[in-house]
Amino acid sequence: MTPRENIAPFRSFILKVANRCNIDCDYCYVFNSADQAWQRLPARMSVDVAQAAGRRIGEHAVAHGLPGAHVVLHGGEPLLAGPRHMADLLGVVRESVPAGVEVRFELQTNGTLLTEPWLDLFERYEVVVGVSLDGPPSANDRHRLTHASRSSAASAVRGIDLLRSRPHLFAGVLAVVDLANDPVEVHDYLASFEPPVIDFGLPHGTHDEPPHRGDPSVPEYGVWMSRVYDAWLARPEDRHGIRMLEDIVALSSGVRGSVESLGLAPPTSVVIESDGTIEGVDTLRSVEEGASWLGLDVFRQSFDEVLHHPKLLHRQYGKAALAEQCQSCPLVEVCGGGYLPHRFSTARGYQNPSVYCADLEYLIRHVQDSLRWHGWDPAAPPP
Amino acid sequence: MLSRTSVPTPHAPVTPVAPEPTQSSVVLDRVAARVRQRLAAERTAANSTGEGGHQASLIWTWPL
Repeated sequence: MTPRENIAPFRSFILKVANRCNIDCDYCYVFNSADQAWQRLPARMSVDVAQAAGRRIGEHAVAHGLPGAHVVLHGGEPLLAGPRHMADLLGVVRESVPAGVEVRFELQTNGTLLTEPWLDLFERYEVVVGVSLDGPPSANDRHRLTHASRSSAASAVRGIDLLRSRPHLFAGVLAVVDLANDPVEVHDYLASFEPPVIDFGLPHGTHDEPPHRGDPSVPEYGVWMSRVYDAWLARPEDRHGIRMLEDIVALSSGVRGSVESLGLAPPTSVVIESDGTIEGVDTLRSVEEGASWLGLDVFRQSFDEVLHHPKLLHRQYGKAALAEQCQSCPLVEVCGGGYLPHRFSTARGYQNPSVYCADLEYLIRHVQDSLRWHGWDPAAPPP
Repeated sequence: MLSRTSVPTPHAPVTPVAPEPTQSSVVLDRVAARVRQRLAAERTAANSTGEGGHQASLIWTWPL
């Protein structure tokens, strides 16, 4: 296999500004998965690491002629960094990137620690904020409990309500699918916060440790998401997008996807840990100990060196990196073989279809059938 | 855990059912407009070989 001639530069830089969390979601790939790297990492990113990361981001953007860079403040729970320290981190990243490169900040939080002073800081640095919430309290409480096993729902909702007072800072809501929740109820509840975007993530699983299913012969996750799709189409008064579903529409129409979990184009995000080490796909921690480890860091290596790391070159191979049955599948341009961690087995590495293959097939066909029903040829650009 | 996802007939081939077309085209019209914007951004971007961002990030990275 040879990579594409033009290796796609990184555009999104995920900074793990805090490596602890004030809640204890049982599905969390950082704290409750196979890899326990968080235990040896600093609780928060230092200003020195943020400065080195900012310089590397600037260097990379200039080298590739990128007019901007997308910096995502992530964790753990990033607000555990504290507002004063976060201001220092934001300031040093912005100062370290050359003036001609626009930095767009985003932060992903559980929402429970949001306050007015936080929002004031986000105004100052134009940080948009996404909140993780799985649905109404009964749904959210299945997994997103505090360390004392109490509900985090009320605090998260209070945070979202505060955020809604400054809607220009509200990036949207991220939810993880649980089959035990009613998809329409979850959709309608999340939509009631009027987010610009909702996205749904499938719970992490591998062929060694497959996701929970009530009936393995039924594509339950695909059915669940197709019911979300139907609910979304049935609510024209709501104006939010649903990223996974819009990506299926875009990819079906020959337009590039917007997230690493669908489509065949190379992902362009990279993760900088709180100690400055660099990871390609941090969610690989759900796969096995050390799966995300590259042995690189922002003090010693440029992001160009990271692009050429053997563990990341598969990103450039496109369809050729996939399992044989995926390469000949008519839907491969849309699903892209599924999200990388979901393809893993100890026996064959990532050379497998996704553990969600049947679900993705069901959902993609459901969306494409719906497009045809509405007079839209899914194989052509949008009407 | 019980699944709340109702499926037509377990153990039988699952056939997707298209939703009723009433009003729902309003949502798809908006989606079509956004996808057209993405296509336009993709065509004008200096480097068109990459794609989107991290799964835990919500904003669209294009055009950059």
